[in-house]
Amino acid sequence: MKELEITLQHLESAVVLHVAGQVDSNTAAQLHEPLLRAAEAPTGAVDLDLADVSYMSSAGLRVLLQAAKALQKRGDRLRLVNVPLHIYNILNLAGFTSFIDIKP
Amino acid sequence: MKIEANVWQKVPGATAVEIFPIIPKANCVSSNCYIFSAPDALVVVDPGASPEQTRQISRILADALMASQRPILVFLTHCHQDHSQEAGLELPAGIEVKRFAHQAGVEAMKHRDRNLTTAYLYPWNPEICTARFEGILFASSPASEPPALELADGGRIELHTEPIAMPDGATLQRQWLPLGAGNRLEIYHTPGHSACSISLRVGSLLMLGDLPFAANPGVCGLDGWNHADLLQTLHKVDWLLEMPVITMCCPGHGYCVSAQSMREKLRLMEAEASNLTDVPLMDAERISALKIYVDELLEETAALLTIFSGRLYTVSYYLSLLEEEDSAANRVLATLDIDQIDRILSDFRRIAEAFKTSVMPEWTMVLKGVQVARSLQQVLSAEHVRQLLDLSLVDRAQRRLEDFLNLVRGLQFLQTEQPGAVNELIAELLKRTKETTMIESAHLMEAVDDDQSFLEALTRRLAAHSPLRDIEFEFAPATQDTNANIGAERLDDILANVMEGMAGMGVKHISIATRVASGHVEIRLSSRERMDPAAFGKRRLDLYNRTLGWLGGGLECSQHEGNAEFIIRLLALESV
Repeated sequence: MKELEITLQHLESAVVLHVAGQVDSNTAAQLHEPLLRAAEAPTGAVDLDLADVSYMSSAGLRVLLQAAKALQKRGDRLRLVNVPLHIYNILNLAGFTSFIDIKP
Repeated sequence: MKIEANVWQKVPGATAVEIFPIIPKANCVSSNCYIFSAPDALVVVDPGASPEQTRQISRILADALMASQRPILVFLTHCHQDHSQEAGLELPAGIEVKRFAHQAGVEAMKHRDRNLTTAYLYPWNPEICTARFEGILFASSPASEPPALELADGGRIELHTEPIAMPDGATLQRQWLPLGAGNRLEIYHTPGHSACSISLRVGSLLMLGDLPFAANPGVCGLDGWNHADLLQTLHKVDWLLEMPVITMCCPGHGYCVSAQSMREKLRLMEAEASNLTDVPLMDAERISALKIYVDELLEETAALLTIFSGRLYTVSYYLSLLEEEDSAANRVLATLDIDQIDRILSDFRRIAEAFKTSVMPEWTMVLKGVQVARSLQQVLSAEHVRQLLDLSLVDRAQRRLEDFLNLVRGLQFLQTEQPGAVNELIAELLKRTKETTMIESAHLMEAVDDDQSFLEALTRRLAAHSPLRDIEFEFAPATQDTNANIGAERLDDILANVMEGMAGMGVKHISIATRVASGHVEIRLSSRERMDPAAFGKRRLDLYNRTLGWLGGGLECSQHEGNAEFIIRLLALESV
């Protein structure tokens, strides 16, 4: 079983996390640590690239929520890019588009 | 009292008899095995179908024979592959083994019947047990049932037939043989799960084989299963379990339980089994179809429940902005055990993926699907879940789970559907999407003076946020009668899911039109905005198409210049 692969890319004004695999209750903890570290840093935008994520369960949604809350404390919003259509659909229906910037 | 796995222990209610239960993790490939050491014989009940288990059995028997030489008597509770395959038990030369099974089972194995032995369920095409069964139990004619088996040392095993006349006039077929020191092995004919099913009693232990699972979805309907026999057997076993002599029950899979617990379980099962009057055969074709349905069900329930969980997270996010995180937000999240649901679904998804590259039988996935559906039903039906939140998504998921379980059981849920007028149903659904907001706003205003009530009303309002609230609908109803062969709930579920899926892709305008043509009521849903139907996931659309297909209809999805159109067809009532 392929586990989650996370690659960090440090740009001048943002940290980009490229995620590949399934984000579910077995793997969400792997995303939690690097994403929260970036979100809790004092500055810098946080982009999450989901191009290679095949599935995201509610455990993945919770990690996104935690990062969004951390960023909200400094007035920023989490940005999701390259979101696969079926994941975008679920995030939108769950109301996540109201506090996270999501681009399919 | 507890019966421990993998250890010798005294058999309650017997003299100088010990039991060594082998209880693997419950699975449909190989059964439990119970080994008894009695003064005059070693008894093996259901060797199973795992070579590793066979090696363990052989070691245990060899050790027991070192202590005292006795014949080995192998019994099958029934001839299904997972119990019988290893009945040959390769043992060193000179060790005498006599095998016993119900006549119907012996004949099924002798004729290499892949259906009655359920060998067809296993993709590795297992060999059916070829071992010789000298002990024919409950034979239809005395000629085929030797009253005694001769042993090499000149001894004999006498098989006694003593039917039990039950107080209500029924007869429980019983045979028994002596095990030494006044102990008996009693055998009862308990058909239903299969024609050859027997139960065995040693002391206070009753081995029931697969009787406790015989009404389970995915198990009822296997070749040889019989509804009338099962109900009679349940009644007879209930009477047996009333007797104080039986204190523990040992099933063919899973752990041993007290007679009282088993009696309660079998009574619940009897209620469940009473509806299973017209169960179709669980043949290979049906299992393959059910396996596809399991995949679709997984996709659908995962989507619905992830959206629902996500909405709870969204509520908690906004409550935390109001600095109510410690109380209201946490209470919202505690409403539903999101983590447990997620674990159940995530684990099942992984099992489903691992299945693709394994040689496990499709039947395993159907049974696993049944287990997951039941676990989810239990979590979702908790009383506190129902108190707080808008449950339309949970209700939809619940209905899909129930449909699935009924279909696996072989119940035709569609027969219970009441026809409805499609135009009215759509109008009602559209009205409801706007009403939710108004009702919740009213609650909010009423609760404004009380902090606790206000928070609860606010929570409900946030959680009940319908994604269809801001959609602009155009509805062009057909002028003809639109009565169709579908229940309101299922059509409502499919329409709501399709429309919410469109909303999820950013569609703001949905046109709905109905018409009656060629014996069908047709519902067309289209968007002004561009959208890709792939956002739904193919399996979810397949599931809707399958459900509608059972009713003589279907769902089509097409894309035209970037816009999606969904066409739902239902059999018009006139042509039903």
